[in-house]
Amino acid sequence: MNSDLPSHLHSTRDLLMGSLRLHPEDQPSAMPADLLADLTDRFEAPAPAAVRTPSLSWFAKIQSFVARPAFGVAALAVVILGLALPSMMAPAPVATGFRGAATAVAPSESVRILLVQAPADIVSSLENSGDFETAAISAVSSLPAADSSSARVIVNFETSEISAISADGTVISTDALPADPVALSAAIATAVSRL
Amino acid sequence: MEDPIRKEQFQRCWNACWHRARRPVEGVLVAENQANAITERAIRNVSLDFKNFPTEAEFTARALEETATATRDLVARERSAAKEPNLHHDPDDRRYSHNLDLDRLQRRHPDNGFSDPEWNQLPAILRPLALATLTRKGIKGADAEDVFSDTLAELVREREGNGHSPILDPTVFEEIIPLHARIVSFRSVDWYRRRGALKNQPNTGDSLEALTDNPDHAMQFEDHSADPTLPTFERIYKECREALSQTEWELIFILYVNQSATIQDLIGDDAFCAKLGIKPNVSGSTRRRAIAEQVEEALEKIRENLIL
Repeated sequence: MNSDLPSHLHSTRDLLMGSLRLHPEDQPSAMPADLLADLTDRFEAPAPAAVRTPSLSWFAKIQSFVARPAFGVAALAVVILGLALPSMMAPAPVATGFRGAATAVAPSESVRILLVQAPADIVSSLENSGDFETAAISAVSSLPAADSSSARVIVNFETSEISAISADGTVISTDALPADPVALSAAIATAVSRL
Repeated sequence: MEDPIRKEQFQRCWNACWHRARRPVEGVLVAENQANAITERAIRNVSLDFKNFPTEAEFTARALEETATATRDLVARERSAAKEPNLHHDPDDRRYSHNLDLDRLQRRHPDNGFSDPEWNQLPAILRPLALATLTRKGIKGADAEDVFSDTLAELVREREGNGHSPILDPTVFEEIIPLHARIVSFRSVDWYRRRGALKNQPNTGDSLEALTDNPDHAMQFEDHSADPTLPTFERIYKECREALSQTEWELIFILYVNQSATIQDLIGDDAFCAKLGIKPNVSGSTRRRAIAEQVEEALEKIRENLIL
């Protein structure tokens, strides 16, 4: 108790001191152990142990980044998209050299990405990802419709497989679809690279 | 990791709620096993409302409110079912002889209003308590009888706005006693005001200012420690919650409500001092001064915001 309080605050202090209305003759029962345990569990859940990450030099960070498998796949995809696909899908050079005057690309010269029974959001995310030419991506409802005379990658959501098929119909590779949709672009890029 | 301080807080909350469950209103006494069950349920219910533990003040206030409401409802329900108004009435309560049937007192006839014969017994119960209060305030004899009659009428008068009569507020009969005591207090102030206006002369008894301006309200009640009209902690917290910061509530709660620490204890508690914004390297006397200032500020806020 603070005895130095100004006198006009004494009544407020006294009010607070009696506000729990504890009765001197009543002896409270012991708090049930399970209640105490439940409350402790609820409000005292141990925080996950902090993981201390050793500080790395910038060189070590770059080394670590380059060493990641995802970097290899991504780098491969960049090479394919930047060099191989444009060369396959680009229009034949014209005499004028003006852009936009190109003739249509012969289907046989391009790699098509056929998405069989693909969820709409995945089709949309692939088209908007910038990883592939939008024109190369087609969403189809069934495998027969996915048949094509050009080299193609078939991403079959019905069978959960991704296949790389050459222009002559040879199945180059067949892999399981990655469980993580985020890894789909990399998987398609890998399949394209095999053609 | 288990926090022993938090466990102590739960234990203190349990004790406070248990007392409230045992005696939710002055004059009501609930069996210990029922108090146990209500307290446990109330604390569990309140704990579900929080993802993280709030301040001890807030958790306790919410648990007390839940406990008091649940206990009053239980008592009312059991009295109604058994048609026994004195069920759960504290046998040591000597303020009046017996409870009346609150259901009947609250029964309102569409044409005749509150006219149940139970009302005939109510003046006999309230009159001695009211006259004692009025006498202390300097209102005696016929004047006191007039004021008392006004207070009875006030119990059934519909309030402006919601059209709700004060007699409909209580859940258990014992709550009528503090309710009526408040009405008596207001009516006595009105009486002094009217008398002053009519006679235009200085009051001969206690002055109006003494009744209205005295923050201690020292003249209103016979026994301050057991005064049922004084607010409980949950009511104080509810009315002043926004006025104080969480740290101020914690400070006030520890020092005065729970009385689980003294200012001297807090001076030696580095963590708590840091929470109050007191620099770690300052002297004990500086800490004392800083704590005292914050205590005064918090008490001042409660004093200004609490409606008595």
